[in-house]
Amino acid sequence: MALPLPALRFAHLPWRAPRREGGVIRLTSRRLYILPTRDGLLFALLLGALLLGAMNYSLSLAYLFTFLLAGIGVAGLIHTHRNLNGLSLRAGHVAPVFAGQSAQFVLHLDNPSGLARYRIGIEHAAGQTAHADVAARGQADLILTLPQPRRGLHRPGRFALSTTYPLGLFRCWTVLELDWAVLVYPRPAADRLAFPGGDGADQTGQGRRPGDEEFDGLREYRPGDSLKRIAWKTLARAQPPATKQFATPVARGLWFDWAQTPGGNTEAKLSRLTRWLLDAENAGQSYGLRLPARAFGPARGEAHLRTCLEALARFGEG
Amino acid sequence: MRPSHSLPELLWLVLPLALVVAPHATKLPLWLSLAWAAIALWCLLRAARRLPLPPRWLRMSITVGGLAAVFAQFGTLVGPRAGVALLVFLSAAKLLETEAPRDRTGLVFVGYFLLVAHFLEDQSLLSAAYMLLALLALTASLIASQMPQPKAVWPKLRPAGLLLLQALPLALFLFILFPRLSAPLWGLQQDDTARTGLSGEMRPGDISRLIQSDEIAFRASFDSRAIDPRQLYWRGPVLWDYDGRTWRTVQRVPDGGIEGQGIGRPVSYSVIMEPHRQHWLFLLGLPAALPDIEADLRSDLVWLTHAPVLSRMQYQVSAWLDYRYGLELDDASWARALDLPDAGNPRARALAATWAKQGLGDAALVQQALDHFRREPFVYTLQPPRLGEQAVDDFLFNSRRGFCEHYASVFVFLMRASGIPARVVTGYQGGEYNAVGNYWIVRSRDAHAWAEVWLKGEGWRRVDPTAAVAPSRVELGLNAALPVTERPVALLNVETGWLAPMRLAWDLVNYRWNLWVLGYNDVRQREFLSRLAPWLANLNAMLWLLGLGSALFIFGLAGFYLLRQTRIKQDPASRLYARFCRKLARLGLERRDNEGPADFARRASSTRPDLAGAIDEITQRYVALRYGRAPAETLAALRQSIRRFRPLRAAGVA
Repeated sequence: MALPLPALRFAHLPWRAPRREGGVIRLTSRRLYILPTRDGLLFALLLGALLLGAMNYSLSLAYLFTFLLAGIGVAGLIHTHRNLNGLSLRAGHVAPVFAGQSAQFVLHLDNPSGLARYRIGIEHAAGQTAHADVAARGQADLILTLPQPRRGLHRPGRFALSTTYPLGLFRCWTVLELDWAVLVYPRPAADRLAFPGGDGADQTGQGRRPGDEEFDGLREYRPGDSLKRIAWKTLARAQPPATKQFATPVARGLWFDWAQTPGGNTEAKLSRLTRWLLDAENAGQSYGLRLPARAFGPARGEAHLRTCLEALARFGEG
Repeated sequence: MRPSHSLPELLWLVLPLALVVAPHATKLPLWLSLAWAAIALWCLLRAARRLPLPPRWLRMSITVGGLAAVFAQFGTLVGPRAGVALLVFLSAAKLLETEAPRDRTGLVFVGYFLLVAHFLEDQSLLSAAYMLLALLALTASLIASQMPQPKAVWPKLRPAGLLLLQALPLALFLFILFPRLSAPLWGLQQDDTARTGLSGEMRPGDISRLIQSDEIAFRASFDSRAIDPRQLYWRGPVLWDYDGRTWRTVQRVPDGGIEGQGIGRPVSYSVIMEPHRQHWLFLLGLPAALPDIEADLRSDLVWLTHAPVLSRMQYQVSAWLDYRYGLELDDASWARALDLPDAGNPRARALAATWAKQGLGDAALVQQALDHFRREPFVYTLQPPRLGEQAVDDFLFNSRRGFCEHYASVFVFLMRASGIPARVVTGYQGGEYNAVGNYWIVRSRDAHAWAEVWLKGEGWRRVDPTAAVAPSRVELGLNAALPVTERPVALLNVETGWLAPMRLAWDLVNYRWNLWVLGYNDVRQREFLSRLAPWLANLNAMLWLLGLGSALFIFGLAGFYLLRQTRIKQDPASRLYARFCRKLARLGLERRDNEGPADFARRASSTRPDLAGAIDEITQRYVALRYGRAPAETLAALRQSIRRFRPLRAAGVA
């Protein structure tokens, strides 16, 4: 899609201050720009040539059809404008990715009007343009796919929502910056390295946490304790009511310690840690993460993994 | 690079293009039409079979070869004919390598150009209707390049039709107001392949060839209904000079100097003439008022334009059908109107001499000659035998078979030989009356030749010797005058059959089309605009209104859509809900931009548990109305509950 002024593509024109927006945004004509495309300029040239011909040969029908074409162009301009005008949009969920992958920013489009909208494109300087149609009173999702080479919390910055439908002679667009971010985890190290030795594993591990697998002693009864857990034997001995306590034994937890992670620089260390975290989670082992300022775990499960990965992703942020 | 077009995608391009190329095919060299079709078919085949692009050298050589062939054919690459051929060829060459959507747009533009260029050849009503369809198809093709689903037809035709309909008001407005030029911007190429109508000379056989043709010469309408077809002598070229075989006008005849007087009231008539690539305009009677166009009236009542008539033109004349003119004849004209070749046709000269010796007056002598035609067994026929070297003698005394050109020619010869100044007038006589539209259709087959003699005290008088032989030619038209066996079969059928009324109605439609659409030139434009509003008929006013109207059109269309959008925004449920939100906002509970109604209700209820019941009820009704299928009563219920919702400011919240 060629443009007359490519620089304008993502620029806010002077009458609109750039700002990051959240919530539901309704596209009104105040934030829509419209200009002819290269084809549109060519079309204008064609109209000029046809008009000259009509004048020179004084062909009434040539006049009529030239004017019809001009009218089609003008009506097309308005159709292009209304293809975006009135559309509502809202930033959708963005799933975290690992560095080197592409993040998919989902944009929910909601068409409150009774006119279907066609071929609405989302454009970004760094990504491929994607298109979607939105049926009358319907919804659709546009997915902006952007490669994420570096870890951290990244904002995609400005993007344009544009359309050239129906004729391709005009391009109507708006420049947006949404309150939108993707969390990019460090790229997992490519090679598998054995988990660090168990030497640090028991030092701080508490060994067990409350659960229901092994008897762990008695404590004073509190109202609300399950009847099943009342120590009937002690009660029978006319002692004060007591409740049996149980605990789940914790597997010998792995500890991934920043200080003891091999790797030449920060990023290599983070990559290594990421790989270990993933491998440990896959192996179903319990693991903890110790970074210079904070420690997590040990535990296992999706939530724990995400917490750890986020800490790695944002490592070194101010 | 994008993958090649699929077959349906390519069909969207090839079919509309074929639609505009097809009407050109008759005027294009055969090889070009065939090449276009072959390339188009091959492209479709390639898309269907998913074949690769032809190699670059092949495409290049086809393009270069085609350009050379077009140049060889026309000797040029510019000008209307060669230009159209060039574009047709280039569209095929482009089709050969079309890959990206970009190419499509360019091809559609070429299609638009070819579409309009066809009006150089044919501006008929049918052609316009056809081209309207082609315009729709090309526009749909443009839309197709913006639409991913290639197979869907209706989603492309519908917006194309809508665009066309919306374009119509602006197009008509511009058509009416865009100032027309009275002269071309640059020189027009003279194209003398086709020449119709009278030629300005009269050789034996000229008019009989014309009579074979149904082609329309012009149409004329009168302000009065009572027109006698016998009066309709449409005057074309006047032929003064005779060399024994051909009548023509060699020397210039001086302009102006017409002394004449009309009898009775002049009639006003309007003529729409088909282009005949000649200078003369057909005139009926003695003009009382001529329109202000670039033409001069010669002293022999021949009206000549400065430039050949290359496009259909219209003029309005007021003239006396009964008149006298040319009471004085200057010496030069006198001599010219009596001039005959020095030798030849002795028997005709002898006959004229005997008449002259009888000592009759000039008028009686004219009558004597007409009586001669009437008395002797002369036959009116379109198939006369070939005449010998002494054509006049041969006709008068041997064959005695011929039609208007023979009779006029021989009559003028006899008049001159007996000393009466005379000349041949060619033009059209009669025509077909279209009662539906109240106008006359004059065709090539109405071509006629008659004579004018100059009589002292009377001036030039029209004499039609053909009428003496075959009075029905003048009274009822050519067909009635011809022997039954000579009447053209087609004419016979159409004129007497059940089709006749339909044919006349169709001609009426064409007449109006020519008058109002095709004939809308600078003169007619001013006339029309001044009839609408007198102040409008000047260039400045036209341009101002043009700009103003176009802006109005654009804003009108834009306003239409914007209004629609705002209407949609304010559906009643949303309006009520907005009022509810304002009531809550007064309590300090503002709904955030990204907060759905349910989320907002939850937050509001947790802040003001005392209102939770009302908030929940309102929210549920609104959500049901807005997003679900709620019965119509829900709206009333929502209105009720929002009206009743009058929360007091709680101390804790404020």
